Amino acid sequence: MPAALADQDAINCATTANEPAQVFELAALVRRCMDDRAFAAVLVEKFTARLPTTIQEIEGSLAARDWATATAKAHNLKGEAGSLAASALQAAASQLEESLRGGQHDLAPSLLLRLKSAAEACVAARTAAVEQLSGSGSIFS
Amino acid sequence: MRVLIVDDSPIALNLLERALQKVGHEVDAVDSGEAALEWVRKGVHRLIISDWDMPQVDGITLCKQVREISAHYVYFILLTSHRSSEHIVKGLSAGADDFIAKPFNPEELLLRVHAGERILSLESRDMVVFAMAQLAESRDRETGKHLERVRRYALILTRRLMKEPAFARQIDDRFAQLIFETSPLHDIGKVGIPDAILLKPGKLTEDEFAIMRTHTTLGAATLDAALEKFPDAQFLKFARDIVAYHHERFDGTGYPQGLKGEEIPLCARIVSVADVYDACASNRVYRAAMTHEETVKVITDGSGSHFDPAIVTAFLDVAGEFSRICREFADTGHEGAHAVKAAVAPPRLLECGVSLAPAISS
Repeated sequence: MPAALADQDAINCATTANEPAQVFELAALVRRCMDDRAFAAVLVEKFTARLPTTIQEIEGSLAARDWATATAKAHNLKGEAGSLAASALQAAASQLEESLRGGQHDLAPSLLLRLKSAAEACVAARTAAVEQLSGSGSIFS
Repeated sequence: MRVLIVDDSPIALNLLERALQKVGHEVDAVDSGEAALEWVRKGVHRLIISDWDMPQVDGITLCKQVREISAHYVYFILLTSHRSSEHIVKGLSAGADDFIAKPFNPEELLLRVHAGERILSLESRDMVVFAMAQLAESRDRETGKHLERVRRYALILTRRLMKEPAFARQIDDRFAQLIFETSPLHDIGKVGIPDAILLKPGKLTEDEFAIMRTHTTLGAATLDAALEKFPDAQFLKFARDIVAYHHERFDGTGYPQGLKGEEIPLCARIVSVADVYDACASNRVYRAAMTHEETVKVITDGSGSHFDPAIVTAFLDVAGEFSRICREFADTGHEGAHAVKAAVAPPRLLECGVSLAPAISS
């Protein structure tokens, strides 16, 4: 992916409205949690609480050119984001993982930017998502 | 069912646990392959769901270890985002039974777990065979957990021999599974031995010992009758070899046929070591159990005469495992009443042919 396009993509992510139903696909998440909304809310809290540290760890590995660790952490983040139905974050983590596996280390900075943006959107959407899951209102758009 | 889930992601573990517990499964959750192996050694789980990508011990390595270590069949499901044919082949080659894509759909997860339960229920044959073997041994008061120990000794020894080039063509996973399933039947012929001989606490006379020896041919005849109806049943053929020949001796001086060396089927040569080890390491009415070291000496002294030297060499490599099994599956309690007689009963030839004292009374 050309670096310029990746940057623009990252900016677009940052300006997307942080509606919880867009950052987290709440309906899919609740189904995965066996229709237990309270449990889903706990998972969102847990996941977003650790997210900044996870991003820092990936950033640190990339700075140290420790591609193997960065790849493993991106893979794990992809999996967890997928489990939490956070599609944009999952996609960003997947792109970073694939580019590192393919040896395209020069793309890492721009892909990291995209990843950070998607992670920030998840953290920003946490409170609203937890409120929506904890309330009795519909989570289906 | 008790299920082991393995994933280095706490979120994934939470989701798996919730889905499985919701339908009544008991769940043990660990966050590493190493921790999973600790559970595998305990042998309490019949179904394992494991992530593929984990540090140090990944899902593939864990699966291979499960196939190596587990005495019973364990249904193994790999959780993975890998979707290529290459990865599927790799997973299946490692011994995985099924795959679930990440992020998983709980409905699909539960259906695949249910499929695993159906496969595991086919193991009822093993349960019936073991129950039959236990029934056959029930008159022999010294049985205890003998059958459980012997099958585990036989499996450990077989798995060790599998690594030897000389045995690579004969021993595979199927062989190992069969020896585990059929070795408990080794003495089923004892049902045909009169109580007066089978339960005699003192020395057997020569005539009595001759009758005792017929338990091999009696047991073989029973399985021959079954083989007439089911001539292609590999399971029965394997069992028959063990039943008929586990008292043969490598030097040709055993019974019932005096087979020599590799004329004796390999499975019988393996069970012979397992059976003698247990006989020596267990309490009897007429003597206390030998120590592990004394038992090892009995086996090594019998190399080339009683036992196949290659199997004795392998035994020495896994003797520590034998000792562990002996402790883990020790008989408890009920032998106490019989042990009182040990102080007054004279030593005797073990049924397995190991002589601890002059064998036959005049």
